[in-house]
Amino acid sequence: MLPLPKSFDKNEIFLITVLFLLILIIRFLPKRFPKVITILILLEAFTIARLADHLLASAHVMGIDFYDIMDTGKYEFFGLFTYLIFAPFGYLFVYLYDWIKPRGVYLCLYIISWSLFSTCFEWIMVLFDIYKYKNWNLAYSSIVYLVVQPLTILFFEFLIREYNKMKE
Amino acid sequence: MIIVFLLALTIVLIITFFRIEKSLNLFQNIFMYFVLSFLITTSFDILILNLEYIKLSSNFYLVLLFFLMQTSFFPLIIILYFNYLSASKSRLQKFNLIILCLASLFLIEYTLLSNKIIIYKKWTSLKSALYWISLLLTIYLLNKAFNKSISDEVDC
Repeated sequence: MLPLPKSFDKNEIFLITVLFLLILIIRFLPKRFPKVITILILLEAFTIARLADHLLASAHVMGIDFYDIMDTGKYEFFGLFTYLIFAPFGYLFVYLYDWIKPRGVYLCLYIISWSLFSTCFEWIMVLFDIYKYKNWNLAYSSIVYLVVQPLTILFFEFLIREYNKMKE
Repeated sequence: MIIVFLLALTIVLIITFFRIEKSLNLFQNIFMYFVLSFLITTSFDILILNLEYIKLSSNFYLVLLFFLMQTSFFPLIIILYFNYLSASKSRLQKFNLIILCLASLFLIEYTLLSNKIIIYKKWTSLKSALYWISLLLTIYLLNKAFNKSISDEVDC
């Protein structure tokens, strides 16, 4: 059902290593949010990545197959790992946001910096053959990050507000 | 015509969803939406791309409509079902609800099928029934696990 890689090479090793490091970082960071908020933030980043790839990378029939993930154009087992990577990144993004609490122009700078960082990380993923672009380039990705990251902040603020309301 | 019909139906469902009072708490609803969107898009990708059991229309707008169905209509119907299920008291009510939920899912799948948005190749209605039932069961179990893990923080 979910094909295994043709050969276990640099892209799979990169994904496993990065995921392992991210899990370690998150594991040892001091707890900042209630468990329910943590689960939903992780799930949000994971699902958004999945839905974006589902729309942009797997709909080859309509001629907008912008990129392939991993070795084949199919939905691979290690394709799941690419979404798993987005979950800790989403968590770190929100974690730092809540820690620094940027306002006004600093919030814009925060989002732009993270978009740049995400785009650079995606470039590394391209170098490791995790993403194989067809009609896509990094500029489009940076625009996607610029849209998704403020939405993630809004989602986080909404969750915190509702959580506090529920606790009162 | 079918695009307008399904689009209107989805909009009505979204409005209804946000207007009605829900018996599950907000976090459970959000959790279920994310999990369902992931499971539905993943399973359809496996069926369409990997196994080639189902073929997708080559029309751009119909494929977009199918994406909308996977990420809004199907998850919302299932979330509504679980909300009503937790509010229902009698077994008959619960039985009626599951029939209504499965019927709605089938009806939409039949509409997609009859308008050639999806085409069965090595897929059958029976397999579809098993698919929806197992999806309902999976989300029920995941929701239970989520409730258990957050019960010390939130009233479920």
